[in-house]
Amino acid sequence: MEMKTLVIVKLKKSVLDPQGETIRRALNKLGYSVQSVRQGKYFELEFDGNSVDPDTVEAISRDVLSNPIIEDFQVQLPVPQSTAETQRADSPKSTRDGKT
Amino acid sequence: MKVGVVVFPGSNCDHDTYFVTKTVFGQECVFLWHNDPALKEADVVILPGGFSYGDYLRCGAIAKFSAIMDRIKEFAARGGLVFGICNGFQILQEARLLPGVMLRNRGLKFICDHVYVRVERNNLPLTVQCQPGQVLRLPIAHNEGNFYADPELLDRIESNRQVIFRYCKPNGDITDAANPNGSLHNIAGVANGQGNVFALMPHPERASELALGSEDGKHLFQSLAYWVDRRMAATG
Repeated sequence: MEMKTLVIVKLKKSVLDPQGETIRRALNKLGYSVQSVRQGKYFELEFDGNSVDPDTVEAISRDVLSNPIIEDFQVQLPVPQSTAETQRADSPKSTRDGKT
Repeated sequence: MKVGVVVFPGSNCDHDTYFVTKTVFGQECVFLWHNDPALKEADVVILPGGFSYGDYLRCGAIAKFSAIMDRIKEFAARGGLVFGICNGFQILQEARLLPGVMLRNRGLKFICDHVYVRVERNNLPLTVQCQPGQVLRLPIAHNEGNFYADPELLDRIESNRQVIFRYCKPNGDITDAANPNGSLHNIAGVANGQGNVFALMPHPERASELALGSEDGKHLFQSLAYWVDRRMAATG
Protein backbone atom coordinates (compact mmCIF):
# COMPACT_ATOMS: atom_id res chain seq x y z
CA MET A 1 0.00 0.00 0.00
CA GLU A 2 1.11 3.50 -0.69
CA MET A 3 1.82 5.83 2.20
CA LYS A 4 3.17 8.95 0.59
CA THR A 5 3.40 12.20 2.47
CA LEU A 6 3.26 15.18 0.16
CA VAL A 7 4.98 18.48 0.80
CA ILE A 8 4.44 21.49 -1.44
CA VAL A 9 6.87 24.38 -1.13
CA LYS A 10 5.84 27.73 -2.57
CA LEU A 11 7.46 31.12 -2.74
CA LYS A 12 5.81 33.56 -0.34
CA LYS A 13 3.31 35.90 -1.95
CA SER A 14 5.58 38.87 -1.27
CA VAL A 15 8.51 37.31 -3.17
CA LEU A 16 8.80 37.94 -6.89
CA ASP A 17 8.83 34.73 -8.95
CA PRO A 18 10.64 35.49 -12.22
CA GLN A 19 10.24 31.89 -13.42
CA GLY A 20 6.48 31.94 -12.90
CA GLU A 21 6.34 35.33 -14.58
CA THR A 22 8.20 34.00 -17.63
CA ILE A 23 5.85 31.03 -17.85
CA ARG A 24 2.84 33.38 -17.64
CA ARG A 25 4.18 35.50 -20.50
CA ALA A 26 4.73 32.39 -22.62
CA LEU A 27 1.18 31.19 -21.90
CA ASN A 28 -0.22 34.61 -22.82
CA LYS A 29 1.73 34.50 -26.05
CA LEU A 30 0.11 31.14 -26.83
CA GLY A 31 -3.30 32.75 -26.38
CA TYR A 32 -4.10 31.48 -22.87
CA SER A 33 -5.52 34.25 -20.71
CA VAL A 34 -3.64 33.23 -17.57
CA GLN A 35 -3.28 36.12 -15.12
CA SER A 36 -0.60 34.74 -12.83
CA VAL A 37 1.70 31.73 -12.53
CA ARG A 38 3.65 30.85 -9.39
CA GLN A 39 6.16 28.01 -9.61
CA GLY A 40 6.86 25.77 -6.62
CA LYS A 41 8.33 22.45 -5.55
CA TYR A 42 6.63 19.18 -4.76
CA PHE A 43 8.08 16.41 -2.59
CA GLU A 44 6.86 12.86 -1.93
CA LEU A 45 8.14 11.35 1.29
CA GLU A 46 7.85 7.70 2.29
CA PHE A 47 8.64 6.64 5.85
CA ASP A 48 9.40 3.25 7.38
CA GLY A 49 6.41 1.66 9.05
CA ASN A 50 2.75 2.48 8.84
CA SER A 51 2.46 5.70 10.75
CA VAL A 52 3.66 9.17 9.93
CA ASP A 53 4.49 11.62 12.69
CA PRO A 54 3.11 15.04 11.68
CA ASP A 55 5.67 16.85 13.83
CA THR A 56 8.51 15.09 12.03
CA VAL A 57 7.10 16.08 8.65
CA GLU A 58 6.67 19.63 9.90
CA ALA A 59 10.31 19.74 11.06
CA ILE A 60 11.62 18.31 7.77
CA SER A 61 9.56 20.78 5.76
CA ARG A 62 10.56 23.77 7.87
CA ASP A 63 14.27 23.01 8.37
CA VAL A 64 15.25 21.29 5.14
CA LEU A 65 12.75 21.40 2.31
CA SER A 66 11.95 25.11 2.56
CA ASN A 67 13.75 28.32 3.39
CA PRO A 68 11.36 30.27 5.63
CA ILE A 69 12.80 33.59 4.49
CA ILE A 70 11.22 33.18 1.07
CA GLU A 71 9.06 30.06 1.13
CA ASP A 72 5.92 28.62 2.73
CA PHE A 73 5.00 24.95 2.74
CA GLN A 74 1.93 22.77 2.86
CA VAL A 75 1.87 19.20 4.13
CA GLN A 76 -0.55 16.57 2.99
CA LEU A 77 -0.40 13.51 5.24
CA PRO A 78 -1.33 10.10 3.83
CA VAL A 79 -4.79 8.79 4.68
CA PRO A 80 -4.51 5.41 6.49
CA GLN A 81 -5.68 2.57 4.23
CA SER A 82 -8.40 1.29 6.58
CA THR A 83 -10.22 4.59 6.67
CA ALA A 84 -9.32 5.74 3.20
CA GLU A 85 -12.60 4.63 1.58
CA THR A 86 -14.88 6.33 4.07
CA GLN A 87 -12.78 9.51 4.25
CA ARG A 88 -12.45 9.86 0.54
CA ALA A 89 -16.22 9.93 0.25
CA ASP A 90 -16.92 12.87 2.49
CA SER A 91 -13.79 15.01 2.90
CA PRO A 92 -10.67 15.93 0.99
CA LYS A 93 -7.31 14.90 2.43
CA SER A 94 -6.18 17.16 5.20
CA THR A 95 -3.97 20.06 4.25
CA ARG A 96 -1.85 21.93 6.74
CA ASP A 97 -0.37 25.30 6.14
CA GLY A 98 3.15 25.68 7.39
CA LYS A 99 3.37 28.59 9.79
CA THR A 100 6.96 29.58 10.07
CA MET B 1 47.84 34.08 8.38
CA LYS B 2 46.67 30.51 8.03
CA VAL B 3 43.70 30.05 5.73
CA GLY B 4 41.48 26.97 5.61
CA VAL B 5 39.59 26.47 2.34
CA VAL B 6 36.54 24.25 2.78
CA VAL B 7 35.97 21.65 0.06
CA PHE B 8 32.40 20.45 -0.38
CA PRO B 9 31.43 17.94 -3.05
CA GLY B 10 30.86 20.26 -6.01
CA SER B 11 33.09 23.13 -4.87
CA ASN B 12 35.03 24.32 -7.92
CA CYS B 13 36.83 27.49 -6.84
CA ASP B 14 38.64 25.78 -3.97
CA HIS B 15 41.91 25.37 -5.88
CA ASP B 16 41.81 28.94 -7.22
CA THR B 17 41.36 30.22 -3.69
CA TYR B 18 44.16 27.99 -2.41
CA PHE B 19 46.48 29.11 -5.23
CA VAL B 20 45.84 32.79 -4.68
CA THR B 21 46.24 32.57 -0.92
CA LYS B 22 49.38 30.47 -1.05
CA THR B 23 51.19 31.34 -4.25
CA VAL B 24 50.10 34.90 -4.99
CA PHE B 25 50.08 36.17 -1.41
CA GLY B 26 52.49 33.74 0.24
CA GLN B 27 50.16 32.81 3.08
CA GLU B 28 49.81 29.42 4.72
CA CYS B 29 46.80 27.54 3.33
CA VAL B 30 45.17 24.15 3.92
CA PHE B 31 42.14 22.40 2.50
CA LEU B 32 39.36 21.44 4.91
CA TRP B 33 37.17 18.52 3.79
CA HIS B 34 33.45 18.92 4.53
CA ASN B 35 33.59 15.95 6.90
CA ASP B 36 36.68 17.11 8.77
CA PRO B 37 36.14 17.20 12.52
CA ALA B 38 38.34 20.26 13.07
CA LEU B 39 39.46 23.46 11.36
CA LYS B 40 43.23 22.74 11.55
CA GLU B 41 43.85 25.96 13.50
CA ALA B 42 43.02 28.20 10.58
CA ASP B 43 42.81 31.93 11.30
CA VAL B 44 40.40 32.43 8.42
CA VAL B 45 37.97 29.86 7.02
CA ILE B 46 36.97 30.45 3.39
CA LEU B 47 33.91 28.82 1.85
CA PRO B 48 34.73 28.91 -1.87
CA GLY B 49 32.56 29.17 -4.93
CA GLY B 50 31.09 26.28 -6.87
CA PHE B 51 28.01 24.12 -6.88
CA SER B 52 28.07 22.31 -3.54
CA TYR B 53 25.90 19.18 -3.79
CA GLY B 54 24.95 20.20 -7.32
CA ASP B 55 22.87 23.13 -5.99
CA TYR B 56 20.19 20.50 -5.34
CA LEU B 57 17.11 21.60 -3.37
CA ARG B 58 18.44 25.19 -3.01
CA CYS B 59 21.96 26.59 -3.37
CA GLY B 60 23.81 25.74 -0.16
CA ALA B 61 20.85 23.92 1.39
CA ILE B 62 22.59 20.53 1.68
CA ALA B 63 26.07 21.86 2.43
CA LYS B 64 24.81 23.60 5.55
CA PHE B 65 24.32 20.16 7.15
CA SER B 66 27.97 19.10 6.60
CA ALA B 67 29.89 18.10 9.72
CA ILE B 68 32.34 20.95 9.27
CA MET B 69 29.55 23.52 9.40
CA ASP B 70 29.06 22.80 13.12
CA ARG B 71 32.75 23.59 13.68
CA ILE B 72 32.43 26.73 11.56
CA LYS B 73 29.43 27.90 13.61
CA GLU B 74 31.38 27.42 16.84
CA PHE B 75 34.39 29.17 15.30
CA ALA B 76 32.22 32.12 14.20
CA ALA B 77 30.58 32.32 17.63
CA ARG B 78 34.06 32.69 19.17
CA GLY B 79 34.81 35.56 16.80
CA GLY B 80 36.66 33.51 14.16
CA LEU B 81 36.86 34.99 10.66
CA VAL B 82 34.64 33.25 8.09
CA PHE B 83 34.63 34.40 4.47
CA GLY B 84 32.20 33.17 1.81
CA ILE B 85 32.61 33.61 -1.93
CA CYS B 86 29.63 33.08 -4.27
CA ASN B 87 28.33 29.59 -3.37
CA GLY B 88 30.08 30.08 -0.02
CA PHE B 89 27.86 33.15 0.47
CA GLN B 90 24.75 31.08 -0.27
CA ILE B 91 25.85 28.38 2.20
CA LEU B 92 26.41 30.97 4.95
CA GLN B 93 22.93 32.37 4.32
CA GLU B 94 21.35 28.91 4.45
CA ALA B 95 23.24 28.26 7.69
CA ARG B 96 21.85 31.57 9.06
CA LEU B 97 25.34 32.93 9.64
CA LEU B 98 24.56 35.73 7.19
CA PRO B 99 21.21 37.44 6.50
CA GLY B 100 18.99 37.16 3.45
CA VAL B 101 18.77 34.67 0.62
CA MET B 102 19.76 34.59 -3.04
CA LEU B 103 16.92 34.33 -5.55
CA ARG B 104 17.32 33.51 -9.24
CA ASN B 105 18.84 36.42 -11.15
CA ARG B 106 16.11 38.78 -12.27
CA GLY B 107 16.92 38.13 -15.95
CA LEU B 108 16.80 34.35 -15.36
CA LYS B 109 20.24 33.96 -16.93
CA PHE B 110 23.47 32.68 -15.51
CA ILE B 111 25.69 35.77 -15.58
CA CYS B 112 29.41 35.51 -16.25
CA ASP B 113 30.81 39.02 -16.47
CA HIS B 114 32.99 41.66 -14.90
CA VAL B 115 31.15 44.10 -12.64
CA TYR B 116 32.03 47.02 -10.39
CA VAL B 117 31.34 47.07 -6.68
CA ARG B 118 31.75 49.93 -4.23
CA VAL B 119 33.29 49.33 -0.82
CA GLU B 120 30.72 50.53 1.72
CA ARG B 121 32.75 49.72 4.83
CA ASN B 122 36.50 49.60 5.17
CA ASN B 123 36.65 48.82 8.88
CA LEU B 124 36.11 45.08 8.51
CA PRO B 125 38.77 42.35 8.36
CA LEU B 126 37.88 41.85 4.68
CA THR B 127 38.19 45.50 3.62
CA VAL B 128 40.58 47.15 6.04
CA GLN B 129 43.12 47.73 3.24
CA CYS B 130 40.52 49.35 0.94
CA GLN B 131 39.78 53.05 0.67
CA PRO B 132 36.32 54.28 1.70
CA GLY B 133 34.09 54.17 -1.37
CA GLN B 134 36.76 52.43 -3.44
CA VAL B 135 35.43 50.82 -6.61
CA LEU B 136 36.63 47.28 -7.37
CA ARG B 137 36.34 45.54 -10.72
CA LEU B 138 35.57 41.87 -10.08
CA PRO B 139 34.10 38.95 -12.03
CA ILE B 140 30.75 37.38 -11.20
CA ALA B 141 29.54 33.93 -12.26
CA HIS B 142 26.20 32.96 -10.80
CA ASN B 143 22.60 32.07 -11.48
CA GLU B 144 21.26 32.82 -7.98
CA GLY B 145 22.82 36.10 -6.87
CA ASN B 146 19.70 38.21 -6.50
CA PHE B 147 19.94 39.29 -2.86
CA TYR B 148 16.58 39.26 -1.11
CA ALA B 149 15.44 40.06 2.40
CA ASP B 150 11.99 41.15 3.55
CA PRO B 151 11.60 44.91 4.22
CA GLU B 152 12.09 44.53 7.98
CA LEU B 153 15.29 42.48 7.64
CA LEU B 154 16.57 44.78 4.91
CA ASP B 155 16.07 47.79 7.21
CA ARG B 156 17.97 46.01 9.95
CA ILE B 157 20.86 45.12 7.61
CA GLU B 158 21.10 48.73 6.45
CA SER B 159 20.79 50.35 9.87
CA ASN B 160 23.42 47.96 11.31
CA ARG B 161 25.67 48.89 8.37
CA GLN B 162 26.09 45.25 7.38
CA VAL B 163 26.36 45.97 3.65
CA ILE B 164 30.01 45.76 2.58
CA PHE B 165 29.73 45.96 -1.22
CA ARG B 166 27.16 47.31 -3.66
CA TYR B 167 27.05 46.88 -7.44
CA CYS B 168 27.86 50.25 -9.01
CA LYS B 169 28.92 52.07 -12.16
CA PRO B 170 32.67 52.41 -12.80
CA ASN B 171 32.51 55.86 -11.14
CA GLY B 172 30.90 54.41 -8.00
CA ASP B 173 27.31 55.53 -8.63
CA ILE B 174 24.73 53.03 -7.38
CA THR B 175 22.18 52.67 -10.18
CA ASP B 176 19.71 50.05 -11.31
CA ALA B 177 21.55 49.75 -14.63
CA ALA B 178 24.69 48.75 -12.71
CA ASN B 179 22.78 46.03 -10.87
CA PRO B 180 23.43 42.78 -12.77
CA ASN B 181 21.00 40.46 -11.02
CA GLY B 182 18.23 42.45 -9.31
CA SER B 183 19.73 42.40 -5.81
CA LEU B 184 17.83 44.63 -3.39
CA HIS B 185 19.71 47.87 -2.71
CA ASN B 186 22.38 46.62 -5.19
CA ILE B 187 23.78 44.43 -2.40
CA ALA B 188 26.79 42.36 -3.52
CA GLY B 189 28.29 41.56 -0.11
CA VAL B 190 27.25 41.62 3.55
CA ALA B 191 28.66 40.93 7.00
CA ASN B 192 27.02 39.60 10.14
CA GLY B 193 26.27 41.97 13.00
CA GLN B 194 29.60 41.28 14.71
CA GLY B 195 31.61 41.79 11.53
CA ASN B 196 33.54 38.51 11.66
CA VAL B 197 31.47 36.60 9.07
CA PHE B 198 31.26 38.14 5.61
CA ALA B 199 30.72 37.21 1.99
CA LEU B 200 30.30 38.53 -1.52
CA MET B 201 28.99 37.14 -4.80
CA PRO B 202 31.87 38.37 -7.03
CA HIS B 203 35.07 36.31 -7.16
CA PRO B 204 38.13 38.15 -5.77
CA GLU B 205 40.21 34.98 -6.19
CA ARG B 206 39.69 35.24 -9.97
CA ALA B 207 40.92 38.84 -9.96
CA SER B 208 44.13 38.85 -8.00
CA GLU B 209 46.63 38.79 -10.88
CA LEU B 210 46.91 41.25 -13.77
CA ALA B 211 47.14 38.36 -16.23
CA LEU B 212 43.50 37.63 -15.41
CA GLY B 213 42.30 41.13 -16.27
CA SER B 214 42.04 42.65 -12.80
CA GLU B 215 43.91 42.46 -9.54
CA ASP B 216 41.37 44.36 -7.48
CA GLY B 217 40.60 41.17 -5.56
CA LYS B 218 44.00 41.34 -3.93
CA HIS B 219 42.81 44.12 -1.62
CA LEU B 220 40.52 41.65 0.12
CA PHE B 221 43.16 38.94 0.66
CA GLN B 222 45.68 41.57 1.77
CA SER B 223 43.11 43.00 4.18
CA LEU B 224 42.59 39.59 5.79
CA ALA B 225 46.34 39.00 6.13
CA TYR B 226 46.86 42.51 7.55
CA TRP B 227 44.03 42.07 10.07
CA VAL B 228 45.25 38.65 11.25
CA ASP B 229 48.88 39.80 11.53
CA ARG B 230 47.86 42.89 13.48
CA ARG B 231 45.73 40.79 15.83
CA MET B 232 48.62 38.37 16.36
CA ALA B 233 50.97 41.25 17.09
CA ALA B 234 48.45 42.68 19.57
CA THR B 235 48.05 39.40 21.47
CA GLY B 236 51.76 38.58 21.33
